[in-house]
Amino acid sequence: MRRRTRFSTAVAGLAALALAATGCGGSSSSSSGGKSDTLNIVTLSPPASLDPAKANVGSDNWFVNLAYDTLLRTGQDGKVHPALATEWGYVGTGNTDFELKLRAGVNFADGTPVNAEAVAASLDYVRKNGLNVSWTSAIESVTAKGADVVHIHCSSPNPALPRMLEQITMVGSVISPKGLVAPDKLGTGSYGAGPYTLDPGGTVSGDHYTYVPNPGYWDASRIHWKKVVIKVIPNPQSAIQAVKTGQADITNILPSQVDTAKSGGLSVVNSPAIFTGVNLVDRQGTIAKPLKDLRVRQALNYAVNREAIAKALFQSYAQPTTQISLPGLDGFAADLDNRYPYDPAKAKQLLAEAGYPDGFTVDVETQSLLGMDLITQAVIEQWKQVGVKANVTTDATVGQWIVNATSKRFPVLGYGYGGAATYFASLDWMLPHATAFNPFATEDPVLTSKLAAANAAPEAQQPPMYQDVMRYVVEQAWFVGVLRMDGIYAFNGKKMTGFNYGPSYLPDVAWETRPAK
Amino acid sequence: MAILRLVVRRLLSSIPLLFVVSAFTFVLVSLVPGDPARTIVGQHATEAQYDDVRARLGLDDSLPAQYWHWLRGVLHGDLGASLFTGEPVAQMLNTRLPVSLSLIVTGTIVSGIIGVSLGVLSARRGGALVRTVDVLSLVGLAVPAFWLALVLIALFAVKLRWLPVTGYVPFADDPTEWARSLVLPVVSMSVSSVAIIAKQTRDSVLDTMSRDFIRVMEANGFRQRSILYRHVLRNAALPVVTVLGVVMVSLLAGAVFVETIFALPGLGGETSSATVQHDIPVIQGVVLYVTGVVVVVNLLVDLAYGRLDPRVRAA
Repeated sequence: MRRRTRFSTAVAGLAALALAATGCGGSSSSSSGGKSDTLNIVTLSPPASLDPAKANVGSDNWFVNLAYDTLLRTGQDGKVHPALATEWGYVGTGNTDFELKLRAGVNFADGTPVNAEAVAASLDYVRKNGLNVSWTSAIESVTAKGADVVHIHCSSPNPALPRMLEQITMVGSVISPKGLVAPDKLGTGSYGAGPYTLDPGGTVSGDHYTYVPNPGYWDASRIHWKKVVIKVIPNPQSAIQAVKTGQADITNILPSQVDTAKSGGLSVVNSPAIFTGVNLVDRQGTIAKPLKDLRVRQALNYAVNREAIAKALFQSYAQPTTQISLPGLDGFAADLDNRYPYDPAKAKQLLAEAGYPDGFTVDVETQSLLGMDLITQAVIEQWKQVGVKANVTTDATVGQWIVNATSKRFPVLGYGYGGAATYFASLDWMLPHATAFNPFATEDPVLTSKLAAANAAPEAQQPPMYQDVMRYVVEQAWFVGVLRMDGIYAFNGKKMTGFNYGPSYLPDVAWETRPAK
Repeated sequence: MAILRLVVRRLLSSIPLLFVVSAFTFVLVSLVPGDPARTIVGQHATEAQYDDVRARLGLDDSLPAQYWHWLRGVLHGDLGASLFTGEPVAQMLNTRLPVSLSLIVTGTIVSGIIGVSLGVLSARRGGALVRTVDVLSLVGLAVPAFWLALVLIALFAVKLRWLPVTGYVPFADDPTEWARSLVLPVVSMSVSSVAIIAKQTRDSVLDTMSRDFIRVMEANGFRQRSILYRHVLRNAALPVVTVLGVVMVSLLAGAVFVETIFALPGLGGETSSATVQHDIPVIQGVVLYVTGVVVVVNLLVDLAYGRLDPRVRAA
C-alpha cells in the first residue's frame, strides 16, 4: 500500500510538471526576451575575462564597454570623439608625447572621482598586464599633470594613441582605483565609470551576464535600457533561433545563416572584419629554403584563385584581397586587392626561374577557427597545380596554433587577423619582433625605415605613407593574402535603432543602440 | 541500521575511486595538446609575460607536483579557481549542479515511467504493440539526441512558439518557467533511454511470467492483476532498476550535448568549454562532482535492490 502511494505521488508530480509546461504554451514570448526595455544580446562564446586588460578585442567588447567608459570614443562615422576626455592631442612633433584633458565632475560607479591620478594608474595597469602588450609597448610613462590632465610619453613614435584609448581596443577603459587594488576581482566584476554596472545577482559566469544602469552616470541621456543581458549560446543554430523567436534581440551569425535570419524578419548588418590567407613566415629561408627567393613567394601568390575561394566558402560575404588591411583603415589601398591576379602559368614560370621547375614541399600549420583551415586547404590545393606540395597540421584551438606558430617549426602559417590601424598591425607583422605573425622575426631595413617615418609624421600625412608601407610588403610577398571576411550580425530591427557596424567599429550597444520608437 | 552501515561503507569505498579518477583525468588532460598560459596571454604577449603566467599558474611544476598541489587543496576543502576567470571552482559548479541534476533526475523519472509502462503493456498485450515498441526502440536508439534537439527546437520553439529555444530558469525563481525550460532538453535526451527501459522491462516481465511459480499461481486461480502487480513486477524490477541506474549515468553524458544546444548553464556545457581551454581546476572539479553523482546513483540502485529482493538485504 505504501509503495502505491509513493508511486501515485510521483505520477501526480509529473502530471503537474507537464501541465505547467503545456499550460503556458500559448503565451509565446512571455519569458525573459519579451520586455521592450531590456536588451537581450547573444554571443557564441563567454568572455575571456571581464577585466578590460584581459578581454579579447572584437569578441568581448560589449561585456567591457557596458561597464567601462573609455577616454575617447570611436563613433559610427569612424572618427574619434570625446568621452571621458574632452580634449586630446600630441604635444610637439614626432608623436611621442600625448596629452588628454579629462571631463570635470565624473565619478566611477563606486563614487570615486575619475581624476588624472586614477586614469594614469588604470593606464599603467592595462599596459603592464594587458593581452595586447605589444600595442602599448612604446609607452614609457603615464603621469598625472594636476587633477585633470594626463600625459603619456612614448619611447618611440606612436601615432595610434587616439585609436588605442577608445572602446574598440579597450586600453583606455578606465578602471577604478578600488578595482586596481584587487586585480583578481576584475575578471568577474565591474569597476568602471560606464553607463551600466554588472549585476552579480543576475549573472552566472559563462552563461549570462546582466547589466543595470549606473545611477551616477555622467550622461544620463546615454542610458537607453533598464537592463542589458548578454547570454552565451555556443551553438550558432540555437543562437539565431533565440533571436528569431524573440527570446533575444541580437546575435552574430555566419554567412550561411543570413537567409534564415532575413526570412525570419530580422535585420542584418555586415562589414569587413577579418583578413585571412597564408603567411610565408620563413622568408629568410631558415627551414624552407625556396621561400627566401622573392620569385617563389610571388609565384605562390599568382597560383591562387582568390575569387573562386571567396565565392565557394563565403558567397558574397568575402572579397578577394592580397593585402593585410581593411577598407577604411589607414594602410588600405584599393589597387592592392588585386596585385597578384590568378595566373598559374606565370607562377610556374617564376618557379622555374628560381630553380624549382618541379616545385617543392613545405610544412604548413593552420587552425580550424572561423573556417581558416578551409581557406588554407583551398590555397594548398591550388599550389598543387603549380607543383608545390604541402604537409598540413591543423590545430583545434587558437592557443595551440600560437604555440606551433611561434615554435619556428612551420615555414608557412594559415592566418586570420582583425582589422587594425597599420601601426598596430606593423608591431605584429612587419617589425623584427618574434610574434605568431612574424615568428622568425624577419627584419627588412627598408620596411622599418618607411614605418618609422610614417609613425612620426603628422596625422594628415600618414595615410599615403602607410599605403606605401602596405604596397612594399605586398610587393615583397611576405604572405599570400586571400580574402577578407565580413562579420555579420542579425538583430530585431523593429525593437531597436542605432545598431551600426563598420571597419574598426563594432555596434555600440552601450551608447548608441536604443529602443525604436 | 544495516542500511546505514551499507551507505557508510559504500561512501568510504568510493574515496579510492575519486583518487583514481581524478589522477587519471589529470594525466589525460596533460596529454591533450594545448597550453592554458598561451591562451591566457594571447597572441601579442612577450615571452617574459608568458613565462610569468606559467609560473603563477604553477604550470612549470612537474605533473605529480601539480596533482599533489591540487589534491592538497581538495583535502582542505578548496577546489581551486578557474585559470581564466579566477572564479572559485566550487562556486562555479555549485550554481551549475542544480541545472544538470534537474535534467538527469527529470530525464530518469520521465523515461522510467514511460519506459516501464510501455514495457509492461507490450508484455501483457503482445502482438502489434510488441512490434511497435520494438520499432520505436530501434528508432529511439538510432536517432542522435543532438539532432532530435534541433528538430524539436525548430518545431516547438521556432514554429509553434510553445517553449523557449534556450536558457534555464531556476526552480526558486519561477517553477513554471523552470519546467518550460526543461521540456525540450529532457525529451530530446530521454528518447533513447525510454527505448532501452521499455525493451528491458518487456523482456524481464516476459521472463518472469514464464517462471514456474507464476504458472502455479495462475493454475491456482489468483487474479491476473494481483499476479502482475504483486509478483511479476517485483521480480522483473531488479534488471530494470539496474538499467535505470545506467540510464541515469548515461544521461549525465548526454547532458554535455544537450546543455550546449539549449545553452543551459549546467556541468556539461562547462565541461566542454573548460576542456577546450585546458582549464584544469575546472575540469578536475567537474570530474569530482560527476564521480560523486555516479557514486550516489549506484548507491541508490543498491538500496533499491535491498528493498526489492530480500536475499540482497540479507547479504
